Amino acid sequence: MKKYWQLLLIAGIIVVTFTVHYIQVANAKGKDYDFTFEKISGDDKYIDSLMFKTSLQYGMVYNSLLISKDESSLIETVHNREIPLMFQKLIDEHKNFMRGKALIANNYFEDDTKLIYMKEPEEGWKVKAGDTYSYEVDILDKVKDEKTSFSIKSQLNNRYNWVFYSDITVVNNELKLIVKQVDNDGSEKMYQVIIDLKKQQLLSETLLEEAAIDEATRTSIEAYNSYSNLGHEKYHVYSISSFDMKSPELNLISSQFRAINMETNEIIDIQLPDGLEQKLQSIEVDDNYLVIAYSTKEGIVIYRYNIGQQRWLEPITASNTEKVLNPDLNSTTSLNGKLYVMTEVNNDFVLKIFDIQQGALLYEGKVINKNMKQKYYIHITDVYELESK
Amino acid sequence: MNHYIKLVNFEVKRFSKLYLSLIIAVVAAQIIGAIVTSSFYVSNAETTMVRDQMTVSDYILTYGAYSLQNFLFSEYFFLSVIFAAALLMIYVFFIWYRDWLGKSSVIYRLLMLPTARRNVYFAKLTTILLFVFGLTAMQIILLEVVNQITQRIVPDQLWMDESIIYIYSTELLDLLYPQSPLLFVFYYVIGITAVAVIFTSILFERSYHLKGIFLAFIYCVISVGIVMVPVIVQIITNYFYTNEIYLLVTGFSVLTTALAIYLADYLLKRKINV
Repeated sequence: MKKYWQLLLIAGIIVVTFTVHYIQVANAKGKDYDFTFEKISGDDKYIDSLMFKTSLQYGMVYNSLLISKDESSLIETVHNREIPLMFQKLIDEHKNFMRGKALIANNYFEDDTKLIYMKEPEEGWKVKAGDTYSYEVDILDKVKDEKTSFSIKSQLNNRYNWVFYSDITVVNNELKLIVKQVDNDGSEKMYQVIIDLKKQQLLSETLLEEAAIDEATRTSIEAYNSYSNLGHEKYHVYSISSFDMKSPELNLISSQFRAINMETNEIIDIQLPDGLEQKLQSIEVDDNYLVIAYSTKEGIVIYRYNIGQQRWLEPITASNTEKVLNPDLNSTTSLNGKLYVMTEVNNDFVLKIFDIQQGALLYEGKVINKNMKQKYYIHITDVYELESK
Repeated sequence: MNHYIKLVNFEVKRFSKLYLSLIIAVVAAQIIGAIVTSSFYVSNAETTMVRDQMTVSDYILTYGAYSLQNFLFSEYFFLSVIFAAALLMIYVFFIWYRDWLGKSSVIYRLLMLPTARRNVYFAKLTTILLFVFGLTAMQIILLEVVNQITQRIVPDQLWMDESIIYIYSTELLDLLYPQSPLLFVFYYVIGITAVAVIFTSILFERSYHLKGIFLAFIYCVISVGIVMVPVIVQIITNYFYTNEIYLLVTGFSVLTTALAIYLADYLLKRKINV
């Protein structure tokens, strides 16, 4: 044994050092990422069944973290390639169907009986004016666990560089699709495409909006529906904004909000209250409501528009209980009639939960981590409701 | 088994002096680096604070506090790691060629030992792995030492203690000590495969000489091709999930290593004459 001392020494150092190192890393993961909620006002029950997906910047390290009332856990990634939680769920449930599919929420529709995926046309830059592309539809019958695929040629013969799907829904067996075509110069066209799922036929391709570019102005179309909602949404809300190309900061000239009723195909104009156009820090769509929020040093102001009734409700103002460091909203997100707003105060972050319809502040609390050794930034990227055990 | 351990011990002993010198060089470079970077930071901070009439907190706000990152991004750390890696890479070739090209042909004695010739191959492979893991283990200890040294040089107000996760998230350290078990296995299996393929290529050259260089080249291309099969399939079909790709590449690497061992065994038994 004595003559093997060098060999044993090297092997011993390797085993001990690596073991200690990985134990330290595991302990640090548990400690460093342990966030808790500290209530300021309201009722704790509003965070009881929630899971917040957050993005954490800690020095130069960026991590995704799941925080619930009882525990925080780091989302493990391989080479920073993270599978969003909603897709992980779909992959776990429908592994074969999900193979080879892009993880872009706008390309999916899901309800109780089916999961639909639409592949965006690739290499649009190769398409010349007069050529066209196809709508490729994959449908999974969740009840029978059967997959159907079909492809339908578009009748649009435009020159474009990219084609994006902004929203997919199904109404009475009709697949309704919001398609955005973008050309190399930045000009955009937005269409509503309707496909009969039973007959696998293209019913219509209607031009909804056109955003052109010239030397003086740049116009763009932006959609606001929740990215992570794969289910049916009655309204697709978007804006057409014009920017002054001659000003160095591309100042906003005008912004027109519209909502398309995906059930009736009717387009509703939404007029913003005076002055709100220049304060658009956060725009969320939750079911029947368009919610616009902005923050000042004094507090948060929330405007709510009932799309169905086509009227603005009384704005909500919630004053800050602590000095706000950054007057911009740190993050906002909405889920099932509630708006979740995060702001940065001193060394902490404050979460406020509002009831959108009632216009009431339900909960306010700090999101705290006492173990972090240096300044960190955290913002909510998604909210999930935990299934009751 | 006994013969194999004896052979490993023999190989370790043969390189131990050079290995120790390498460790001393790396330790010296990094300790000097720790002293230089932290002393430079302190003197620079003092000069700037006096010149610009700044408080410590103003200075930290403008220029940042000293942390282990200052050392990790310095050439002392980076070059010492590259130097050690390069030396070990050279040793992958040297471990075979010195047996043939040295004054007394050690390979003659090794291959005449009353044990399977493949044990010589396994012993050399194990030795390289031990040296690689030994150096990476030493680096973990060294970083703790560097941390202590810089903490003593830099005043508390200018020093920033960092989480182990943050420290080991830098690109180079993340490569050496992956935090995901999947990546740990992936990186080190790829490394073992690379060494095994190089060893077998050397044996091709030793078996067939000039023609062997050509055969070794072809063999290397085929080996890389085998390891890359899942990646090529993925590019064409986009069928696999990311984790599956890592697992498949790891699996194909194991296959490539098995092929390397089989070929090495064949060459050692049938083609290499001593």
